[in-house]
Amino acid sequence: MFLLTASPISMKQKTYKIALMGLLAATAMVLSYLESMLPTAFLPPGAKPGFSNLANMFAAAVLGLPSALTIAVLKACFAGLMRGGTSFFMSLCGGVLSTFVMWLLLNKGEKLGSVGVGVLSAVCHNAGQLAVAAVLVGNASVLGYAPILLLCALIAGTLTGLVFRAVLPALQKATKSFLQTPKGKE
Amino acid sequence: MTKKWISRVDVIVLAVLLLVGLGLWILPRVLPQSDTLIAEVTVGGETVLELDLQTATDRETYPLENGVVLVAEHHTVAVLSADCPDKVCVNTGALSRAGEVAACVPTGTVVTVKGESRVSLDGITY
Repeated sequence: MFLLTASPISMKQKTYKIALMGLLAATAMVLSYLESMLPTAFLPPGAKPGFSNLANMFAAAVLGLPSALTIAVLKACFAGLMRGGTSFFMSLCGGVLSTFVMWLLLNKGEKLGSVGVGVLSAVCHNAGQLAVAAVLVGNASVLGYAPILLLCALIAGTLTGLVFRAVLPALQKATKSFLQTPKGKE
Repeated sequence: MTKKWISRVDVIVLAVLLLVGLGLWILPRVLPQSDTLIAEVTVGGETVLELDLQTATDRETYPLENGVVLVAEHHTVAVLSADCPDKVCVNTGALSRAGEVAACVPTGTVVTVKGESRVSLDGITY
């Protein structure tokens, strides 16, 4: 009897969760598309602000690791469709690594603030991408991009961390209905 | 779950990474430059072209088979154009120091500037 009543609710919750995940994945894609329209003249080659990591970060904080990783994979597929196979692999490796680190630090890194999580995940994103780039071109000298990318990751990660912390209360409020099945609406 | 905006550990992490990044960025710029600069071009890990930047004074273009076009002038080398969507290699600009690199991942092309000490056998007999 308990199981019978419990399962529709948990299934409903699961559906809400999947819907929220889809929304976040769409947000990530829109953010990365908007970002690609920004002028890059003032940025060093290969560096990006990484706004879309906000969606991953929120997913890692609220929905858990599997959902956050799914968003990272979907984002990589989007990058692949837009800019080709190389972008897919670079986005996949950077995204999965940074999302995992995000989730780990958000849950286990009690002493870290939002800025710390943003910075370390941005650094991991670049490290993952450089590793894939080195494998794809068969030449480790692409690591020559590492110093400038590291400095950019510090700025981008700090911004991501601050924006994440700023929008978190509003996002939590807005997505509350997705994560709790409304009472009396079975 | 509410995290602090920025914690003391965050500041330490930022400071350490900033020092590492700045150090790695500044080091090649303050170390003495070697006299001979060779631009090595690899495609898929195989060396396809070597340019002596010391003798490269007049503008000369080097089209590669994969559509990447290099240009050497004034002891520098740059990627002029490439058939890739990101143009990271083109935006990297001209390379003039040992250790600098311009990579075009979609085409698998990497241009690396290597410094060699002039005190080699050729240098002495010269």
